[in-house]
Amino acid sequence: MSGGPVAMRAAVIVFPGSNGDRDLAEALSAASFAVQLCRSDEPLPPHVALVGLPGGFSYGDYWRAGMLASRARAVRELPQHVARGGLVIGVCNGFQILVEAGLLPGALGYNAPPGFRHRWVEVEVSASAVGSPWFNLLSAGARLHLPLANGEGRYQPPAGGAELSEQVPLRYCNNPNGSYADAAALVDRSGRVLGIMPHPERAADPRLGCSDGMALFASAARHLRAELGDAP
Amino acid sequence: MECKMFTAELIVTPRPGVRDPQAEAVTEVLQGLYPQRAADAARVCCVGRYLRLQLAAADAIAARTQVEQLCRELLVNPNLESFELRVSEAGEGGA
Repeated sequence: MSGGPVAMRAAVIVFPGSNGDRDLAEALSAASFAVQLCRSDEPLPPHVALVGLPGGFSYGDYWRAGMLASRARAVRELPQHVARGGLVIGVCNGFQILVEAGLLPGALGYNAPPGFRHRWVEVEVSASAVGSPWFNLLSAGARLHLPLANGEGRYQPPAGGAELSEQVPLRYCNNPNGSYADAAALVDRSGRVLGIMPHPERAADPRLGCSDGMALFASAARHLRAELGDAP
Repeated sequence: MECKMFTAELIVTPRPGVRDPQAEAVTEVLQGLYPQRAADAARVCCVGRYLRLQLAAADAIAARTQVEQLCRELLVNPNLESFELRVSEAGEGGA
């Protein structure tokens, strides 16, 4: 046991049209991850503990936002990564890719009322966040101040209206886009896959005026450090 | 088995009951063109997408089955959308 810092590996997948990949990599680096930017048409690198799908406009949002990217090689490998205990975060367009890939239930449709939303929002941590590795440094009821920037961010639950409230870890305090159940984020049943519409990586440095988003990355790091022990 | 070429036309629209903000936005602008007649101006009921593709299949039924499979796998998200499909032998109707 070295007792030194653990070099946890993270991969940020870069799709054609991603624009938030560097921001996400910077935030993960600040949370002590060794981050690698990876092409979406290549396999996931070995030994990564966390995979991030960044914001942007993958494939120009053609046909449906996230649809074309959801069939990329790296995305197709995510179920195995999660089954091995790995974590996944999809931010904004990354969230759209996760629902299109079927890793999270439901869909993200055009904002209602119509329009692109680009503003700071308050979100509240719900009791559903308890147990998810992404929220272990936060308590239910805590509020985060995060920037939002999307045109297709209205969360729509699966047809048939399955009860999803236990999978909504963050709720908008003032719903900006018509999302079902005020959902600003969603986790899968394992809690390891997080899709989030506001941008925690753009609020991860006090020099930018707000670092509330760091809590998510630091939570993930703490979880993985505990899982991995001191292994490099 | 001999295959023929078919043309499939796919129209994807918001599923009934799902809000259609694109239709609301287009309606608002259309009605703004003639504000004095806004009350009886056209109202856009839905905005969707159109895709035309060609494929080889034994017959029209097999072609339709193949395209329906593509719809389920990728092209239609049943949480948000429903679809109409027209299949014709390539060359028919100029498609």
